[in-house]
Amino acid sequence: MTTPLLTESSIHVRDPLPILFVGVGHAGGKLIAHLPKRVPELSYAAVDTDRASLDELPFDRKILLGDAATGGMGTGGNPELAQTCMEESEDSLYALFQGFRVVILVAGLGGGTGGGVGPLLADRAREAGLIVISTLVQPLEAEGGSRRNLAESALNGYREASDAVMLFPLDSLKVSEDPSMLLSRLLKRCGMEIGRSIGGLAVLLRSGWLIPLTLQDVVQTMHRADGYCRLVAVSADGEDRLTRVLDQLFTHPLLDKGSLLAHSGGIVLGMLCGPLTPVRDLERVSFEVRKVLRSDAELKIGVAQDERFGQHLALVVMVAEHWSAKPRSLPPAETAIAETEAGDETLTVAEKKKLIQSEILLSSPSKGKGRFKDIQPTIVEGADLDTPTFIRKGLRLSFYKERTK
Amino acid sequence: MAHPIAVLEVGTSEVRVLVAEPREDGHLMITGIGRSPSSGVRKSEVVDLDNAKVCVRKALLEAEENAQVSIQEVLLVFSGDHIRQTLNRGTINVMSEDRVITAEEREEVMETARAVNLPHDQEILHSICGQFYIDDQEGGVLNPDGMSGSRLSLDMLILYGHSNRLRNMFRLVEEAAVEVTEIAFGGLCCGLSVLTPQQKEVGGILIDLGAGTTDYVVYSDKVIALAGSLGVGGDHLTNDLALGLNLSTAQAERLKVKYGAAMVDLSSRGRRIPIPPETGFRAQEVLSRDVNTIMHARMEEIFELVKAQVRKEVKKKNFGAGVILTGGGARMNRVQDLASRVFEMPCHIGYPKEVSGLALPTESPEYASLVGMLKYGVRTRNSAVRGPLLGTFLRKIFG
Repeated sequence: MTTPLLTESSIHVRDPLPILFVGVGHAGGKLIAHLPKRVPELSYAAVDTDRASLDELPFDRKILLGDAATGGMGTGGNPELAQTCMEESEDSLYALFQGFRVVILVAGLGGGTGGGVGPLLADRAREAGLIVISTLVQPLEAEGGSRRNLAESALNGYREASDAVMLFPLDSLKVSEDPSMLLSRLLKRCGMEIGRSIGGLAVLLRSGWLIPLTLQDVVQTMHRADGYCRLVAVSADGEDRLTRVLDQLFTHPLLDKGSLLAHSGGIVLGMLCGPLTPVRDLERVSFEVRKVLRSDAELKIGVAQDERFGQHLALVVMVAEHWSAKPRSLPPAETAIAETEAGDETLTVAEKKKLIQSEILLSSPSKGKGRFKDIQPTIVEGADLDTPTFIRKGLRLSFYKERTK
Repeated sequence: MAHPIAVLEVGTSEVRVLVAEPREDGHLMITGIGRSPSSGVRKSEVVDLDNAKVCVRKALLEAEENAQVSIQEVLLVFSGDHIRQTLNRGTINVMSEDRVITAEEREEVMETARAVNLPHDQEILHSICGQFYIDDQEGGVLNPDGMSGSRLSLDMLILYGHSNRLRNMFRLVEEAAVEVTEIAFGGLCCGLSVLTPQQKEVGGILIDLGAGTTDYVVYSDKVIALAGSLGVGGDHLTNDLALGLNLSTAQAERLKVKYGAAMVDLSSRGRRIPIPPETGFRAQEVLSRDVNTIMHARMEEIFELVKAQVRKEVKKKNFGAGVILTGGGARMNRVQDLASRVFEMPCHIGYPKEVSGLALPTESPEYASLVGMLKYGVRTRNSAVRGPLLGTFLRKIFG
């Protein structure tokens, strides 16, 4: 016989958190097209520059960006055209974000709209005061150099404008022991992983908590993770559900088969269960997870109940890929630029924005020149090229953040 | 087979010697290689003569044993960020009554274009003919002989460098008991080695990613439009990693070669790379993302600097052959992707062509300059009049 964890009367009930899912571009829309049927209580929208692909999606809210600029034919990966499309449709986008507290953008990184328009969309959502979580699918390595270059550039853009970036590398989702895995199966698997994990996160944030986990808890972890997190959801039912759910978690490909979990500095673990879940289930999950974590890792656990789960047990786990002592701050772009404009006139606005949003120059290493300190310097246009480029450019390394912790 | 030729490059990471026998059809058969880790050289310049001398001797000895020859003289490949270029236009009046340009007038305009005033501590290293212009015609020609006009002009690309620094390199080799019979700039040698005539015709940007310097040669409109050297290379990448991640130089070098990439790889950003301990440096783990962030920043800067030079100096930007990478840095993971992105054109690795024999030089982009020097040596040996390269330089320094 199982013992209820808590009685119904003690469940902390809150107003549901208004969360909007937005599929950006063709891939983004496809990836979440199945969610409205599974989790109908959430809100969904699609944003695309391609009319035909937008028409296929089952959402109430759809915005065709830049109809005048592209004729509904897509941007073809042209970033300037993407910018034009955004400007043309700004009013519709602000209207779309009205009334929501969190927006979860879902996009493929290698596409024209997902890669080009998406980061701008994230920026607008943040300007509208929303918490922005970008869920991004990284193209396969086999898709080639130009697509990967576009993906990398887009990822940086998303990261600068989002509270957190949840990355789903397609290569990680390949089943290594199955070389004949079909491409269609891989894409389907990716869609399922995204649906389960972000859907699970959304349900957790909206459900009645037995052990509370607030939106702020999640956002704080996102910010201390530098914006880079991995999100996975695993579930099982039956008598051995605990063993199976933990096995899935510790061997999950998106967590590098447990390696990421073992090295992470911050983890948010949400346990979603039915009303008859005993305390010992939580104790076992907590014990087993703590066993694999590093000793100084910060683990935040929340437990939420949903009657639909019955005997099911689901874990939604957000793992920080990087960890810093100080949370990353994301001031509104215009304010941040104005603050530093007087300080460094040599930088372009874009560079200033990048500097601020990346919190760089905070903990740079020794500004020495190492083995070049005693020889004739290489000076080009005033820059001493013997000083490491990453120092001169003020790029931040996770290494220093970890050391300063 | 003709008498063997030996070429030497005193690089920042390695001293290399190649011995080859030219065949009658012009093909080169590599018969010997000598290599020695370099010491006493930074940015392709000698900073410790004694240490460098030991390395040169070692490489020469190995090549001699390998090729079963005694090396008495070498052709020397050089580089260094003191090498500069200037484009000088010379103009003469065509004096003949019929205004038909003769070979003598072509020679005369070449002499005029070659005459530049340089600071007293600089020497002309190469003078490379560009296009000839007749009267005020905008389009240039490669050979004006027999054409009509009243004025003949020529753009001459002059490469020059710091006398003392070149003198140090000569002294180093001569103290190793071999004579330098010819020298040439490494970037130009790479062009000779890896580019086909078709590639030169359609234009391209060749970048030799060495350990101490990055040399570049730009072909445009069928001529060399730009050549030069930046005093940054793979050595800087190693130094950046060592400083950034608190590693020894040896640890950083191994990390760079084994795990480094010119782009931040999304799929392995979170991967941790174990660094074994070394005297004075503890064992640790570094993030793949950090390694590649450091390398990406440096490589992107190098490419951007070359691109800025091209933008500034090259008038007609026709680069049908794209970007061609040589040198040890061309082996870096994803460096082609980065170059392609920065220059916005296709990029590929240049391998030495028209050589056979020992496998290493024919399969390695880092041997491009040496193979090019071999080709240059064969060309000058077969030529009754040596090219407009370093005759004057040699005379001034050693005459």
